Amino acid sequence: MAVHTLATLLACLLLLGMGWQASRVQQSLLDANASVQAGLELVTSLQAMQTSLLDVETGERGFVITGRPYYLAPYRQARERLAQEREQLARVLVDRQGAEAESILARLDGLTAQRLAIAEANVAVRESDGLEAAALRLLAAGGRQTMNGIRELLQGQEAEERRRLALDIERAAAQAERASQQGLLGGLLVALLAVAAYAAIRHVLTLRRRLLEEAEHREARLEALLEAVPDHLYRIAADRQVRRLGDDGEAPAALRQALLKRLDGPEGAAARHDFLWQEDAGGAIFEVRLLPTRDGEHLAIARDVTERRQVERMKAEFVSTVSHELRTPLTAIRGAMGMLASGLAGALPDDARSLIEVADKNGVRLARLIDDILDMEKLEAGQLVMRPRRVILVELVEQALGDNAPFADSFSVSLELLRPLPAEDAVSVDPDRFAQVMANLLSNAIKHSPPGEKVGVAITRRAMANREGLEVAVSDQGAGIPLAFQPRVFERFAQADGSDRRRTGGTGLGLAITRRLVELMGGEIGFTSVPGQGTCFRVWLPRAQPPFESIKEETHE
Amino acid sequence: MSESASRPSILMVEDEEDIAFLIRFLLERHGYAVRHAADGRQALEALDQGAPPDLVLLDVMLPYHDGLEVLERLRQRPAWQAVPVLMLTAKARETDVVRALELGADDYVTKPFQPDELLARLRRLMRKR
Repeated sequence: MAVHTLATLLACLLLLGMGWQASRVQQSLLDANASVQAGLELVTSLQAMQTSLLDVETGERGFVITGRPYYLAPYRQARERLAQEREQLARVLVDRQGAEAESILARLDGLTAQRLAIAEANVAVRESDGLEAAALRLLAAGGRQTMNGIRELLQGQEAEERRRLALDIERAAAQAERASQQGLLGGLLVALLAVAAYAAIRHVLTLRRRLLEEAEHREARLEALLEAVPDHLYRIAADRQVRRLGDDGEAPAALRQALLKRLDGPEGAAARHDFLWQEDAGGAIFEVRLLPTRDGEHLAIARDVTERRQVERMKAEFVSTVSHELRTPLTAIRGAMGMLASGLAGALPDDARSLIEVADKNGVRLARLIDDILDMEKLEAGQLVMRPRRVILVELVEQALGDNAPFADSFSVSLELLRPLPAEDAVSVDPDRFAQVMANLLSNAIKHSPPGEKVGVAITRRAMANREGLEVAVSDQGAGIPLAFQPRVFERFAQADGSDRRRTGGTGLGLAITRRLVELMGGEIGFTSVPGQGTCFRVWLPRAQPPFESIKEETHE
Repeated sequence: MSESASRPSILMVEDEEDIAFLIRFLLERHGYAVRHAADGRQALEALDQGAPPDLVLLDVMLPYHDGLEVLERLRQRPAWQAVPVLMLTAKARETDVVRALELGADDYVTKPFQPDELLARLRRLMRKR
């Protein structure tokens, strides 16, 4: 749970508790108030009763001393009030003091009755016997003592009640004080919690604002990027709408079709697709890449490659033209040299013959270099046409050995076919191109073999990635490929060292071409080489399907 | 005339002067009678002049009419249908080779050629005849 939610919840609980506590305090204050009220009422009742008794006494004395009847009026009135006031006092006293009230009331009733009886007797004596007898009786009857007893009783009660009242008020004040302290503490706590909640909310808001700012920056960067990138980017939503990123424009209908076709294709929506797309005949050519995004949509990037392809085509045409132009004079040179060397123009002196041979050999080399450059160019432009046929591999290899035997002879190296396979093992390749591959590998092996050694060619069955196939291994006992050079063996114009080129007469393109050719045949090429012991190049080719009738006819041709 | 009739005759269609010279040099030294057409136009004219030769040596790249067109016209003439045709091609233009073989050429030699190879192929075609 978030901090601010927790703090807010706590503050609310606390406020509820404080409200309940406040209502309790108020109730108890009301109770205290009522008790004070009752106490005051009791005091009033006590005083009223005392006053009435005093009135009785005063009236009685006044009449006894003066004999005038009007003193009897307050005396009688007071006597009438007394009964009522006694009832009032009894009620209040029972309320306040409970059981104790009975004894007090009994004592009070006794004293009151005594005093009233005395007063009555005094009044009666004055009326019948006159002043002197009444005055004597007044002094002797004990009215004063009785009255003092009553006063003592009532005043004692009053003092007791006042003491109690003071206690009540003190208690109420203490409770109010405690309540106000609790209220203050609670208020402080609520304020603290509110501050905590505020801080938490503020923190969350700050975080959110920072995230928003970051998102804003990302968006801005993306926008700038989209603006700057020369490619066209499209978003393919789940509802198959194709929209341009950036301005959200519609993609061209033809492109949309091309994209959706690939999404629905056998490779499906999860794969990455790379393809070329042309707006319309003669229009711009785009290299399109289509890939799934993490959120289940797709992104398409279309790059205008019209110009690049044009430049590539021009370069290819240029290389091809230059090569052809080079070849024409070379044809004349080689023809003339060949004819001279073969004595068509008459016998040559030995010195002249060796010079002609040097010229002729280099003519051959130049012609091969041009051929290789043209091959490489075609391979790179994807223009090399393969005409695969189902052929028996052993037969092709044997033919290659035959074709390259003269070359091997000139290096005093012999060629040997090891472990030939049964005749039915066939591959599907372009025989001319396979011959080219074999010629490259054999001539490399021959050139790097010491005189008198053998170059071995072995054919074995070998499965690769669950595909059945055949492997041709060409091995020599030469110096091997230096370790440092091994990673670059298949690069163009890569040779172990410059002197090697002069010594062996290679073009530096042979293995690059060989690898591309093998790949075009659906095969793979690799090598192992131990410096000082020799090198072995291996060409793996997938095995062709068992022959159908029509293919059989072709092979019998 | 009697001497030339006894020697096998070859029509050479080749626009490169030096190469034509070399081929003529080679062939004449080996006892062939050589007639030269230096471009496509001359080659077509040669079809109408005189009897067909024993063999045609035909370059593919020629001014005016290329070797493939000359070959097509040549094979349309009944008298020339059985004449062996040896194409001279640049190695890199394999599509030309395929097309030439489809149009009725008998064999091809790629330039730059070895004199021995050219002679060997010539002799083979003329023996077949």
